[in-house]
Amino acid sequence: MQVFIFHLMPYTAMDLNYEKKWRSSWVVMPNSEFDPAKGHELYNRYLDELELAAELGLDGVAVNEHHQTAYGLMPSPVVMAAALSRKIKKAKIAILGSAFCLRENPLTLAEEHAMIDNITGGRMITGMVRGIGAEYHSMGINPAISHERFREAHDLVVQAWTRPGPFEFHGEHYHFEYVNPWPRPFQKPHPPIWCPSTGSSETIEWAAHPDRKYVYLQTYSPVKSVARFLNQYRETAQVKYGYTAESRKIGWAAPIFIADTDQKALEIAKPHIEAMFNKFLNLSFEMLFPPGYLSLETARRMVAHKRDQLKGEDVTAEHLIKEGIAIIGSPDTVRRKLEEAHRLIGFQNFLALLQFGTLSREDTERNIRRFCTEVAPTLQGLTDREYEGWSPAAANALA
Amino acid sequence: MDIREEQVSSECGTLRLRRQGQGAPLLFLHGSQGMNGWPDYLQRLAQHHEVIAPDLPGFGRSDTSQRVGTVSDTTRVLLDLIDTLGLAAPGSLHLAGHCIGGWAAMELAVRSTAIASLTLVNAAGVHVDGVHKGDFFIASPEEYPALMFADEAAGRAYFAAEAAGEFESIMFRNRLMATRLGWSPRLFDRALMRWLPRIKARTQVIWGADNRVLPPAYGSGLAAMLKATLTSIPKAGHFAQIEQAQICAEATLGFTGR
Repeated sequence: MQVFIFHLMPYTAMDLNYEKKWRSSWVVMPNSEFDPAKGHELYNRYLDELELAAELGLDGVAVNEHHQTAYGLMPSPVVMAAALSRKIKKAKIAILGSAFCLRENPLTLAEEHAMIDNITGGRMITGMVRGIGAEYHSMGINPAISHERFREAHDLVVQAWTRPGPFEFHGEHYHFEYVNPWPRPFQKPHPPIWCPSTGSSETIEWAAHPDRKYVYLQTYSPVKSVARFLNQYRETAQVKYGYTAESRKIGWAAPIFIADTDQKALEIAKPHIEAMFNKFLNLSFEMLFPPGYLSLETARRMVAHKRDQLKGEDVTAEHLIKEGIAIIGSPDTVRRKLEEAHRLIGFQNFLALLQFGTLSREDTERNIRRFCTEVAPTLQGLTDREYEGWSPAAANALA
Repeated sequence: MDIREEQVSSECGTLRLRRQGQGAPLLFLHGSQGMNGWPDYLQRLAQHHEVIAPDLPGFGRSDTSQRVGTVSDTTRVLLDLIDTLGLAAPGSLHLAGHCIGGWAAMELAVRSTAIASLTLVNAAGVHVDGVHKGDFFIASPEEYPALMFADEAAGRAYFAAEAAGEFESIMFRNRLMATRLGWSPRLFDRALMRWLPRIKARTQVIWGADNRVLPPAYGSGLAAMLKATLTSIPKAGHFAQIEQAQICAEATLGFTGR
């Protein structure tokens, strides 16, 4: 298994009582709340954390893109990937992902990813995402055309990386007389493309298509849903497209916290993981799902469920642990849960979110060291031999 | 008075249309939230006019078409519609529109010689520098009444009636279509602003004094751009024609030369 560290780079100094003043830490929280002195400290701290995990033997480091929010300070993950690309000599550098379709010119991102691929000698992984709904508010892009722009931006970028230039590209949204980027990517035919998602059938079917066979990554979900969606990838490949998906085409991203005992881990992690889910990830339905972001049918379904969920009680760390959304405990507990999930689901990529919410520099560093030395080596040894293969009973056993 | 409903075919699918009354035809174009009911405002206009109100493409019970992605596209469908309905004789058609329907009405008046008079009620379509608009895309439906009405209770009653029954799902279509047409640039078109001088029909602007979506500065700004009469309606928000139906109807009728 390939094991990555994943970072969101949250603004830990956010006023956690902001809800009296603003409805969300996204879109509407004024940027006067951002202190550049704190920003200077945080960016350098977070880069140190990623570099430490790479030094301690993880297979890769991953960054991601979010705009106009305290949840994550990486409107351009390319800047972070570039900053990491010289110091990290062996591990892969994954941008999970870049929202190509939020750009008026996705080619500039394609060029930047190709540059990092050249600098690192082919250690770049390119995630392609639509961006979350809130970003259609903050980037001024029409969510009603989000799906079509995503697909067209993807086609443009892949062609730019693979077709000999210069060539013309004329789509519905993007138009170029000369597509001819220098540099071309280092990897052939191009950097691996990953699709992170919280579980969209459309994304799974698209990623699994034989023309693409992209890595599908399930993020922040109950382990039962992880099983369901990753199995859906395998099933789609087998039943719909007639090929057997490799286990290296699926992955899972989850928050991890390790301390001496389960109790100790819960005590330390609790306020920070709860801040992440309840404060940093606090979005209204209208921010999360602007019209057209979801297909009409999905949107109608979501209103019934998600809307109540969004208005509901704050989640607790205990709930996140019970559902398997976060894995928090002693090294033995964390290792056992991940081995068990792998035995039943068979994913060959795991991304550990080792800093979350307000977790401090000291706690994060201890967490990184323990994960990298006491858990990751076991995971890195797991192969398809330890995977039982899919069965409904096995999936249910995770509940 | 009967409300007569019909389906009209167009190049962009079927349009649902309602009519009421007799007299010189008056075409009313609904706003971004669609129009499920048949408001008192239109009943009053129908005392003196044949009021004709289509559901705009993609709204209400009219079909959605891939061809309609901008208000200019909507306007092309409306140009065909007034031909189909035999309403295109020069200077014969009174036109009124609310919000995004006011935007489409201006686009129509820029292009068509048929328009006799133009009444714009809290119309979208233009930009006024330095005036902050209310964002009904980020607002939840529960927040609509306070955002869109001067009197929140009146707004709650209006939206509850609008959302009754099967219309619940139509509200999704309305939100989606309003998003397609008006998300960015937010509810305006610079090209329309450049071509407003082409409007030859006499024009009036009616504005809710308590409009929190398109604040009163938008009303005076639009009236200045159009060199049009401005009527400010007290105790009225973005849905002025609902909150102050009688005053809005009188202002409209005073202008159509009924």
